[in-house]
Order: sequence, then C-alpha cells, then structure tokens
Amino acid sequence: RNLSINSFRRFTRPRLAIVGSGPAGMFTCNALLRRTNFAVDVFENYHVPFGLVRYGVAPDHQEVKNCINLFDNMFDSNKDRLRLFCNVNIGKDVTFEELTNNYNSVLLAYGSYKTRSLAIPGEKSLNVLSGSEFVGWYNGVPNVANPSLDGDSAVIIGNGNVALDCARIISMGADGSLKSSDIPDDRLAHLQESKIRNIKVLGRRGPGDVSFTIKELREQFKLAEWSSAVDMSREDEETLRSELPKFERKKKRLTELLLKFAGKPNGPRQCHFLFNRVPQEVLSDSCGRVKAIKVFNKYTNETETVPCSLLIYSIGYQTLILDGVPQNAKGMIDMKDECRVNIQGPTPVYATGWCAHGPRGVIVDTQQQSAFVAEQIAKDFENFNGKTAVGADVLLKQRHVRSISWDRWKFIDNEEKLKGQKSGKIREKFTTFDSFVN
Amino acid sequence: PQTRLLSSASETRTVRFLNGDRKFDANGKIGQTLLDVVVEHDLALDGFGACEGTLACCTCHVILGKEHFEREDKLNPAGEEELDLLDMAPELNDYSRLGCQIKITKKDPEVVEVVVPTINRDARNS
Ligand SMILES: Cc1cc2nc3c(=O)[nH]c(=O)nc-3n(C[C@H](O)[C@H](O)[C@H](O)COP(=O)(O)OP(=O)(O)OC[C@H]3O[C@@H](n4cnc5c(N)ncnc54)[C@H](O)[C@@H]3O)c2cc1C
Ligand code: FES
Repeated sequence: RNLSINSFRRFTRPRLAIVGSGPAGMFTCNALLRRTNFAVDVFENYHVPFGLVRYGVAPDHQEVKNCINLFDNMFDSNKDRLRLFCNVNIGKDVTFEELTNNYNSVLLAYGSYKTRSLAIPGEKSLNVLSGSEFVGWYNGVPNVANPSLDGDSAVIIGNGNVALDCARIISMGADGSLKSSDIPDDRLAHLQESKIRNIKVLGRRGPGDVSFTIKELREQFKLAEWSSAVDMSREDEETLRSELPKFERKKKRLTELLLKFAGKPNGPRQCHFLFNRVPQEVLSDSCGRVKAIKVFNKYTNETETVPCSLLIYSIGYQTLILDGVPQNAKGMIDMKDECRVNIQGPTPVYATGWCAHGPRGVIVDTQQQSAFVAEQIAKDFENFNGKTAVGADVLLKQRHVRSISWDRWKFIDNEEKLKGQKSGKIREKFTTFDSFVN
Repeated sequence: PQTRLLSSASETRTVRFLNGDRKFDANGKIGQTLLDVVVEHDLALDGFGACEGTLACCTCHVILGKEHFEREDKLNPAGEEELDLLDMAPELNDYSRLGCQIKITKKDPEVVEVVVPTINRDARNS
C-alpha cells in the first residue's frame, strides 16, 4: 500500500461506537481493529465488561471464559485507539441519536437477554423467578435477592440450555465442585444449604423438540450424586427410535442421549425431564409463596399438579429495542440485511449478536457472526475520507456520568483476583461497585 | 548436506488455513496443534481458539481434507467431548474436527491444507 495514503488515512480514521461489551461487541471489535485503522469507543451498561461471559456463562464453565484473555490483549495492544466506558447506559446517559451524531458509525451489540414472562395466573407468587434472574443471581449480578432454596423440590420450565444451567447449578451446589470457580462466596454458601432434592424440568413440547446442546445435557447426566432421567411415553420412544436414522448428525446424537436416559430417576437426589406439559397456573400457600404448578399434560389430556417450592421459568425472550432504533413487525431491530440496520441518515448503523438475531446459539455462533460483520464494516469504510467524529466522552463529562474506564476495570479485575486467591478461587466477584466509581 | 536438509525439513510442515477468500500459510512443528500454529503466528483468524484449547468452545473448528481426516481418524479419533462440541459448529461437515485436537504429524505432507469455515450470512437462514 502507498505510504502517503496510509498516513493520510490515519487522520481521517472513522470513529466507531459499540453498544455492549459482550462477546458480540468484543469479537467484532477485535476483528475490526486487526483489519482497519478505526478508533473505537465501547459503552457498557454494567459496571464491568464482557456481558454474559461474566453474568451468564455458568461458574462450572470457566474455560468458556478464557475468551476474556483475547479481549484483554486487544485492549492492551490498542491503547491509542480503543476506549471502554462502563456504567454508561445508552438510551439514558447518552441517547442513540447522540451516538449517531457523534460517531462515524455505530455497532449495536447490546444482547437480548430478558426472559419472557410466564403469563399465567399466580406468576407473581413468591419464589417464582425467571431463568435470567436465577442465572444473574448465582453469577453475582448486583442487587439480586437470594431465592429460597429451603424446600424439597424445584420446577424448571423450559427446554433450552438456560434451564439446564439452572438445574445443574442447583445440583452442584452442595458437592463442593464450584468452590474454586468464580461464583461469589455468599451465593455458593446459599447453594450449599439448599434442601432441594428433586428437580423437574418441564417442556411444553415433546422430547424431539428440545433445544439443549448435547454437551450441557450430558453434564447433567454425569453428575454422580444425582440420578437424572428422561420421562417419555412409549410412543415417543418408539417414534424417536424409528426416526433416528433420518436425523442429521447433531440431532441424532442428541436424541440418542435422550433415549439412553429414558426412564425414571431413583435415589435421594433426582432430576426428571418431563415433556408435553403446558403451564396453566401457579399455586401459592397462605404466605403467597409458590407451592405447586398446575400443568396440562398433553399425553393424558388431563391437568396435573406438580408440587414445588421454587419455580424457575425460561421459555423464550423479550426483545428490547433502544429508543430511536427502528423496529420491525416482529419486534426485532429492523435490518436491511444480515448486519445493517435499516436507518436513514449519514451514519451507518450495524447490529450483531443476540440483539440482532435473538438469544440463540452459543459463543461460537456469536464469534462467527462477529467475524462476518467486521468484514462488512471494514468493506463499507474502505474508502472513507470523511472527518473523524468527536466521540461522546465530552457529553459524558458534561453530564457527570461516572463511567469506568479500561484501566479502572483492570484495577477492579486485579482486586477480584487477589481476593479470590486467598480462598483458592479464580476470582471473588464484587457485587457492589460504589467504591470504584469516581 | 542433503540428509540434513531432509531431516530438518521433516521437522516442520506448512499449514495452510483457508478462510473465506483469505489464505494463511504458517510453519508448524511436528507435535504442535493447529491451534498452536495459529497462536504462534498470530494469524488473523478472528476469534479462533477462544477457549484456548480447553475443549470448551468449538471456535477452532476446522474441516480437514478427506485423507487427512481419515489419517487422523485412525490414530487420533475424536472423543465424545470433541464430538459434542462439534455438534455446536455452525458449518459441521463429515470431515470436521477441532483445531486444538489436531496435531501435526510426520505422516502429514509438506503442505497441510485445512478450511476454517466462515459464515457468508448470519445464522438466521440456517
Ligand atoms: C445463561 C447463559 C449461559 C450461557 N453459557 C454459555 C456457555 O457455556 N458456552 C457458550 O458458548 N455460550 C454460552 N452462552 C451464550 C453466550 O453467552 C452468547 O452467545 C453471547 O453472550 C451473546 O453475546 P452478545 O454480545 O450478543 O450479548 P451479551 O453477552 O448479552 O452482551 C451484551 C452487553 O450489552 C450490554 N448492554 C445492554 N444494554 C445496554 C445499553 N443500553 N447500554 C450499554 N450497554 C448495554 C449488556 O450489559 C451486556 O454486557 C450462554 C448464555 C446464557 C444466557
Ligand atoms: S479452542 Fe476451544 S475447543 Fe478448541
């Protein structure tokens, strides 16, 4: 490449705002910084970065969190053109319009992780939680109250990985294997006292319709102290067995695993997967706390009452659209194509990850999408010769927003690791950050 | 000198990573995994090996050539864990493996070619 063009470009580098510091934002950022001369500002609503890597991925999946090392390197080696602003809510502290006015481009990567409500009578009973609340609780999200784990049985509604995570973490609470993870001490102590011996995972559809990944399902079956089994009708079983040869590899392997564990659990600790159960009503005791859930059993066409003292539901999601971002008829961000937001005006806006396509898939899906969108943005700005936009840091200062920078986060990170070291843990997460905001 | 040349040549192989319309050639030593090669040469394969070879992520998914796959499948077949992870791969193929589990071996030819799949479009259509 021609040197003069390169040095010219350096003064006209595009400035990009990324909303959200989860894997979608960070993988895209990393790919873009490698490919282009962009300057990037990342805005994160939480006090600390990395989205669901910190507040979603279960504490027994530490290795999944190794991607943080990649993000660390990225910030370290791009200090001149990459900034992080945590504790900044886009929509409240700075509006979306202000971003489009102050940046050459905006990438929306703000995730979409809010469980849809159960929408049945009694859903407001005490100790009824959404999957996102329960996951947030054991992962140390600030200001989440302890659920009560003092009863014998829990019901988890949903047939996706979040339901499995919740079941597994309850199951593992007592066995000590989370001790060295990054689960906050107080949450682990609470789990260790759990009296739950009976978990039922309910699906409204059949065993052929689950959206578990096989890795997570197998993890539940592997828990030594728990007997886990899949309840399916003989008919279901026969149908699945006969269809097995037709399934593609992935579905075939998952179905084989379900069939292998078909039956009833036994022993002191049981986890039971039940299908074709449609939630109808939450029943509560005189204190207003959940005591059972009434479900319609599609096998028998009868209503059943399943007792439970804790009810967790994870049955779909609610999309959140930032004010000012166009929305389509499905309630999703209105997209022109795979990654470009359908919006007028001079500032191109992109979206990727769960906010763009719904909360589906795992990190590898997010990473693949990110590589794709980074390539598209790089292409769109190949011949950029406009003026570098000013950015939003002035606005933040004017408004006295107490943002947390990358360096400040590294300080917190280090404190967490030191504190964790003392008890042989990977880190001890802070659950309040008042002392860290200036 | 000729034998020396041969023996030194046999200690390394060129690994060619095909990624969309990009191509990366890098030298790898016998015994190194494909992930080691990507890391050592800092290849711009975005997000490849996110869990650092701990069998937790599947971002190191590669598609091997038929012969390469069969060679590996004899000596170093994918275990249950690897197969479970591969089931998450967006572009799973009969010759799919995880790059952190595939080592360069003496049996490999001078140039080992592997495909690092990319998505051309997002997952909505799949
Ligand atoms: C419970 C759970 C467990 C999981 N476990 C695994 C696993 O073990 N392995 C695996 O591969 N994948 C796992 N996943 C999937 C993985 O977490 C997702 O693929 C990935 O996190 C999606 O990335 P994202 O960046 O789109 O969203 P997120 O990770 O949600 O990141 C979005 C970020 O944007 C921020 N944000 C939101 N609104 C605003 C705003 N207005 N202003 C500023 N910032 C904002 C959020 O705070 C968040 O940090 C799990 C997901 C969940 C929910
Ligand atoms: S690097 Fe994560 S599975 Fe290979």
